[in-house]
Amino acid sequence: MTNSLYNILVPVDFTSKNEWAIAKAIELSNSLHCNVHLVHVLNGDEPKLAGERLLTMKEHYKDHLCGEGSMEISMLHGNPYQQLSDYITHFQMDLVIVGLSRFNFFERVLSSVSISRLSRKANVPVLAVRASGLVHHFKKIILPLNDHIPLSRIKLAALLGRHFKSTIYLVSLRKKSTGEYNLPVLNETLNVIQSITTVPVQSIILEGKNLATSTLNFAGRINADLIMINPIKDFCMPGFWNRLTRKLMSYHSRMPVLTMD
Amino acid sequence: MVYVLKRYTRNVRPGRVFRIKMEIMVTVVIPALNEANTIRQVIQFCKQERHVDEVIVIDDTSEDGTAEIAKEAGAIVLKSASRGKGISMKEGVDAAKHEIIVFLDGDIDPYPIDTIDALTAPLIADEADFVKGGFSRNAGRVTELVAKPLLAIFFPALSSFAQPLSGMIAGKKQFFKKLEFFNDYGVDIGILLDMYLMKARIQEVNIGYIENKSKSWEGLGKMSKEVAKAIISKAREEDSSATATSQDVATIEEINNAMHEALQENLAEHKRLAVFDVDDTVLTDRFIDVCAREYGFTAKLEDLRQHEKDPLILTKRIGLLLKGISMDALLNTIHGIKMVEDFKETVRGLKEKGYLVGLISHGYTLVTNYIIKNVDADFAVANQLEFFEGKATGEVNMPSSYFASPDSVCGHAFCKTNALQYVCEKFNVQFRNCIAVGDSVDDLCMIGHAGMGVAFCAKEKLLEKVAAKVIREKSFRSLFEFVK
Repeated sequence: MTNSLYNILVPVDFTSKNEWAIAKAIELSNSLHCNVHLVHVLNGDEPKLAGERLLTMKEHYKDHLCGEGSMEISMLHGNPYQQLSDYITHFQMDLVIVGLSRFNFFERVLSSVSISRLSRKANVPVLAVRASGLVHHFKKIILPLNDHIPLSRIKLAALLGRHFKSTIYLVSLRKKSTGEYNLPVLNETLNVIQSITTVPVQSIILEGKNLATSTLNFAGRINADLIMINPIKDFCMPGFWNRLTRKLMSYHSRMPVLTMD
Repeated sequence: MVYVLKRYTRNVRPGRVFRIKMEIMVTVVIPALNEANTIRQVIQFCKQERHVDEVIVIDDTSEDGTAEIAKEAGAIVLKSASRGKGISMKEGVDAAKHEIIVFLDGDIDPYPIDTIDALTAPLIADEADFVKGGFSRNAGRVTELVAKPLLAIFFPALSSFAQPLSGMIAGKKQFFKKLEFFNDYGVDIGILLDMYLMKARIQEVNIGYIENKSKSWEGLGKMSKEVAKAIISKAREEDSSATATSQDVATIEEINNAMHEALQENLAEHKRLAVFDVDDTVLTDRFIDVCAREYGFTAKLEDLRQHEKDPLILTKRIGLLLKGISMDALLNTIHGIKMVEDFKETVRGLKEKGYLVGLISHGYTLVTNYIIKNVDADFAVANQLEFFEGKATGEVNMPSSYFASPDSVCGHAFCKTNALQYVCEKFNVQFRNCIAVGDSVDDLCMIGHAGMGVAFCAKEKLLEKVAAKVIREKSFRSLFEFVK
């Protein structure tokens, strides 16, 4: 199948979150036949030890791959964001998968990968997964809309939708913060999707004041499999603290959330 | 046979007996279409040969002054009644005054010095009735992968020919007169098979090394199809029960797979691709609209567009409006439509940057081939308008690549994105490395899926929203701001 996902990157820091990120990457790789790259950025740890751990990891997971993709391991030195961005650009990564534990501020500060920062800096979709979320079938994909037609998200949703025979749910708040109705964007996005794919689409208007909260509530009600968002404030959770720490809905969702700029 | 008496009068003093030699003379026929760059040299080469008494150029309605140059170079120039190499060759046979006729291609320069001698010697010595010129060159892909395997199945006696598709041939007029000439790429193999079936004495002679222009991939595909069709139809004529066995089919499939893999490897170096819509994008008008104005079916066309919503049926029914119009007239119409001024430069610039450049159009191959030839693009996907005896039959064949496969990226039953996907797979290019340029709602899906979609003087607002780049003036210059 012609698809535009060829390489998936999983940043590895040898914590338990990596395990389910790798497991999800392998699930996707087996469905879409893409390569999985496990990349560790050295952060004061011993290179030899880290290398051995990476090799052990590859040995452990390589038999789980049953598609046409393969598994690559790499070790980088330097600033994690810069190194990962360079790697993503240079080797043309199409998707980054990160594992998430329950959000807390300290972990967030210590975390080597911030979703919004990575998706902006490297201009690559970042899929945040928790242990519970399934990724081998995205039957219900939610696309929350703010003020613009999200073309890159639409293209990726169309690709996944064709592959997994999904339904795309376009969701928008009835009223924007300015008090205007958001129907034109919803209609135009619907037209664009229908022009470039045959994947079924449903438009839903949500009540509420915060797009992130309303989307998460809706996703829970329909038991969605994937939410696709932008790393902008419209998709941050409400509240001063959340806005300050740029807490995207990814950190608050049980289901996989894909963030792309 | 016509014998020409040549008098050798040098050093002849009065009272001495004239030495008279009887020499067999030959006619050289050169079918030509837009060969202005090489035709003069080819004619001069023929004229230097001692046996050549007559050089006839059959001009296939060239647009680059081939006929004028040929006339200046001293050839007899005849204008072909309708397009096609087979028809031109037949007209050459009718016009030739000598019994021995040599056919040469107009685009080869230089020919090995003894080409005509080598081709005619077995005929003059009456050792053959038909001579095929073989030559040294990198193996022709269609020869090795299509013609030879099929000849081995249906005409094993001819499988030993090194160059069964060579267009450099010589033969006796009486045999040529009995032939029915195929048109286009099937003609050379068709002549060889007819000669064989007539039990003419056939020889292949090696005429040396020849540098030949490589054909485009699209050209190779068309050539393969026509050559295969010619061989199989001749085999059927000879023996109506002649069919390939399952073993043969397996062999052909194996060859086909090997060819596909070889092409994929060969094309792996091309990583980027740019495709352009044709009507109102590359051309400044729509071909069918211009035809409608010229041939008076504007009202019918508008009516069809208004009432027929199924794109497939619409294409078929629009094709019917062209029924009976000659190919020459349609080519003149195309000639009258202006191309966007800097398109040729754009194609050259993109190719210099490593892009493969092609056209994906819901128009006709007649138009896309004309553009390809003018701008040196690499490929085109378009509908094929059928012609019979030089006139449009109204039938339109749509390329299968427009139709959705189970792996179709968009899922539309009939869409340019399917064609783009087909081209990407063929040339081993990823969608994200594609540029797609178009102007109408027909191009929307393709523009949405390509790595860089460009709305060119778009008529639909939606197109501009989907496109990564918008061009509002009739020029592709600004495209290079975004091309790496």
